[in-house]
Amino acid sequence: MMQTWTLPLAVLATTFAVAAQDQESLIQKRDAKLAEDWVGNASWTTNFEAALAEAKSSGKLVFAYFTRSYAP
Amino acid sequence: MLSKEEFAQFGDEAVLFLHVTSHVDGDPHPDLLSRKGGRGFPYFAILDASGDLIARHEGARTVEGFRKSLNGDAVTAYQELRERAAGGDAAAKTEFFVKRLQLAHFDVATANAERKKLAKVSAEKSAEIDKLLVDLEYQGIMGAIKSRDELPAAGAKLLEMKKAGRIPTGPEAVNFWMILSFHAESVKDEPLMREIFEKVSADPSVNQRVKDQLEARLKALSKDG
Repeated sequence: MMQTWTLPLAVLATTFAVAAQDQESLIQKRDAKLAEDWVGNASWTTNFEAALAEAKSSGKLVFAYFTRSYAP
Repeated sequence: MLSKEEFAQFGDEAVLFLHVTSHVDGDPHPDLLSRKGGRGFPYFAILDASGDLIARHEGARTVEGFRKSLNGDAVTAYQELRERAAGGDAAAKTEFFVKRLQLAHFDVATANAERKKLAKVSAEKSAEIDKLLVDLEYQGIMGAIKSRDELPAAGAKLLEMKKAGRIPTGPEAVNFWMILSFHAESVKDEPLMREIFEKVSADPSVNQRVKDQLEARLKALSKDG
């Protein structure tokens, strides 16, 4: 319970810290994240519209994993 | 765990969607995390084919845990309620609207428009909806903040909510007061800052360090005044 209130402010703080990073650095970090081994282990899609279209055609639900690349 | 073979097999049971918040310009969905109910990282969620959030995964981060969320009661109950609502059941329509409010499917304007389509509800249910709309309004203000510079302006909007008696309850309440404190500081509103300090100090869920920092900010504001 002690943690619940601090999270949004912590997220805001890290979001604001992004402003100090240039686009080239952010692109490198994103690409490095997407190149990690676990991404290739399963059939992840990073295209939201494609995921929804596949869910619609297959009748499956979407299992969504949200992560970030701009900070550890 | 995501590297294991059993997770690869889990991929046959659902469409696996990966969203990386990167802050790279041109990202087609930079705010998808917050739009799907995420508040931090990592965040796992179950969405339907329309992209609507059905359930947050809050259990173990194992394949078994993910499978429980995917096939769990929350998902089943949501789908059954959606079907009953689509079938014209007035009570189910109200409950489905409430569920969608809880899952933040709407912005405030859309939610208010959808509310008008409902059949007459009990006073108790109406109060529940009012409370959820307050939470939704608060979340909308918070979700729109893109930089630290915008905190005082967001705080000003929260002050309008406070004046109207629309104050979030539950775990959101302390965040409401904390963001409002940035506005109080920016306009040097010492009485408001004191009220915020008293509210936060009375909350046993807030750690002492935060209370001390707030008290220091209050003293600084009082000194300036």
